Amino acid sequence: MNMINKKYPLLFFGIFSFVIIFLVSETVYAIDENNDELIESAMNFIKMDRIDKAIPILEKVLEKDPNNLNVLKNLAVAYADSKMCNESIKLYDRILEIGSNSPEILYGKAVCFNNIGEPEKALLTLDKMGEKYSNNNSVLVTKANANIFLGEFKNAKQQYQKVLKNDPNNESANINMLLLSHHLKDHDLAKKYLVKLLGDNPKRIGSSCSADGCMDRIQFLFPMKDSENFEITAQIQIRNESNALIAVIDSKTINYTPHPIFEKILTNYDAEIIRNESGTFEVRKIIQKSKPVINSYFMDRTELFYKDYTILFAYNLAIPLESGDYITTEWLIKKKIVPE
Amino acid sequence: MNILESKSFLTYLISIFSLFVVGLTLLSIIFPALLISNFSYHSNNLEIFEIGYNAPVILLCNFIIIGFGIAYYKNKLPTTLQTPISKILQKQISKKLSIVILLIILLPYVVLTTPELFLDEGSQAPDYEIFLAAKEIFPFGKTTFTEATEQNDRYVRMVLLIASLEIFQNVKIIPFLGSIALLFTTYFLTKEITKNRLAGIISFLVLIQSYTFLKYDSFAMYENFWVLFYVLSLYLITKKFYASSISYALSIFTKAFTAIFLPLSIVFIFYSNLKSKTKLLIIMTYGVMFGIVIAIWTLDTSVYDNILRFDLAQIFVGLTKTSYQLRFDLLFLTSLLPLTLALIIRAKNGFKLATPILFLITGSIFAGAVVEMLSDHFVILPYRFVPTIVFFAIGVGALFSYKKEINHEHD
Repeated sequence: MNMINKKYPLLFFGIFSFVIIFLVSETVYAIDENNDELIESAMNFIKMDRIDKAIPILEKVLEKDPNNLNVLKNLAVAYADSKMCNESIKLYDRILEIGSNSPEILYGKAVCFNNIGEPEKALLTLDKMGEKYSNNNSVLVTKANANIFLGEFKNAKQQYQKVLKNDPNNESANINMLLLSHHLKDHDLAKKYLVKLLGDNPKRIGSSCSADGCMDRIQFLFPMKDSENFEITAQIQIRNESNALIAVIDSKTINYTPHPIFEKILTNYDAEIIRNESGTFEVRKIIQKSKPVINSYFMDRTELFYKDYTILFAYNLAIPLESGDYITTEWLIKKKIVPE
Repeated sequence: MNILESKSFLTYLISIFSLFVVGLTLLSIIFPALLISNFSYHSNNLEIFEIGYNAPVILLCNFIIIGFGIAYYKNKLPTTLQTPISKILQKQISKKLSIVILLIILLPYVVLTTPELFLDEGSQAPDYEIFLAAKEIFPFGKTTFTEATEQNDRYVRMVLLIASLEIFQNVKIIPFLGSIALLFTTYFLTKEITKNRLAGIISFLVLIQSYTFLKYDSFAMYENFWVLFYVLSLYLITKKFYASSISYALSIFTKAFTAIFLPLSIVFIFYSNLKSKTKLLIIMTYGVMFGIVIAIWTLDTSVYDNILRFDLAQIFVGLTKTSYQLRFDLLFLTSLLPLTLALIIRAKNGFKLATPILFLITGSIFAGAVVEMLSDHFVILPYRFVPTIVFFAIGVGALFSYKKEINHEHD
């Protein structure tokens, strides 16, 4: 009997705890029945640029409410921003199935098709938007980008120019004209847009732009071999801290900037005039000594800067280095003199 | 000319070719500016006979090793040295013991390398950004980004790297497993060639001590899958010949560079112990495989046909690169010439696989120079010497099956 009496308080406590937990969980669920709090927290993460945090929350909401248009749209954009365009396109298709045929959805889907390298589908999607939006700047830029992927450079140029006629400062169109000039090997066109974008005294825009342009996003640097006016070679000597010779490497794989600052800098160096069957050239030598940063793979590039802006960039050098090694780069720059 | 005569003529040619390649490599170590000043397109005032920083050590070691080798070969070493060396060179060890030794070597290697797997590939290698761009449009998406297109032409590599990311959320894990697999494949190939487990262990050790191998063994961007599949294709020639061309194709679809190794494989087949009919069959499967590879590249509008050129001088410039890109692989640099001479002597004395091993070493060095001659897009990079290091390791291992050979043929 005594034992039974001892069990009552325990039993009572158990039932009480269960009821409390049940009530609390029900209340929480009732409070966020429309997922408003979750959506709000996801939107806050998006505002804070923490898309990685926002995505799982939006996915959770979508599980409970699969046809929530607002969540579908936000998640599609979040996927696209996280380079998950394949996922994005699936959501855009769901939105279109639900019935919202809004131009912004078609536009988002087309941008994603370009991002995953399916420009034909991007153009077809944009065509569905109808005549009304055909002259919209964003649509034109996306169409032009698709045309660049397809190698239709002439069409792309016309479309970017149309955008720039409507809005001369449209950043996307200006940057893409620079990219286009790279494909067209038109360094005069590049010069024009480099000045427009970077001004007369350019500075390096971001750390990732020190390498191959900006990894093809924006070609700040152009292959010297495509230039009609310059012939540039570099010779790099690598020595150890005791000044003993390790290697001598020649490089013709050089990128340069067609920005006028390059020619301006060259005037600071003495030139020798040479004439041969190819024409008349101003020849300059620029010698720089530097201590390269030891990276975890090998040294594969050397640069010549002007106020932190890369004007020459030789690559494919591939030399394993150790601390104490230094390099001497001799740039030999031949500029063709065009008779007036 | 019968098969025996063709083989001895080919051995003669390969020996001369190998001495040429090794000679130019050593010349560039001793005088780094000599070749470049003669084949340069950059007018220069280089001091062509300036001594390279590695030259004294390399020369001294070469003299010592060659001197020691000659003394051993001529039985001029004191008996206290001559006899134990002869015994070690011919020593056979049991399967159990070899497994224990391999594990003893492997465990510290894995333990010491594991921390590298947690380094951020993105901050280690700028090429990771290209890989991510390629991954986004893999396999057939269009881009104007040539480097990304080139990555996507390497289907097998992309699949393996993406698998590593998707399965382990770490792009380095499968490449590291690939490097371990390469160590074992090197062991098995050497063992198969020499019929000696100790030789396999020696090659395992030589590979695992290599600076170049250790530097890139856990790098996802400079992975060793292509080397693994190629070395595996050589091993399969002796084991399951019908699968050899498949492994070779996987290697090409991991890195097109190995396509240029075809003559090396053909020489290996030619000198193998297989019957003539089987050899012919393997070569036919290789022909079909190459046809398929070319067809796939054509259908996929591969980037490779857009970047070809011809510049003969680049052969010589390319050959100088071994001297500085492998500058920290001192065992390789000091032993390359002695090993070449030793393999030539072994080939002359009747160990017929010495010739293809020698050709694998020097041919893989030369292959880089050929690529430089044919393209200014692809260049020799240090990690592209991993196959050379593997073949070098096999070559060193092959010395450990030393017997006083009788010059005879079984073909």
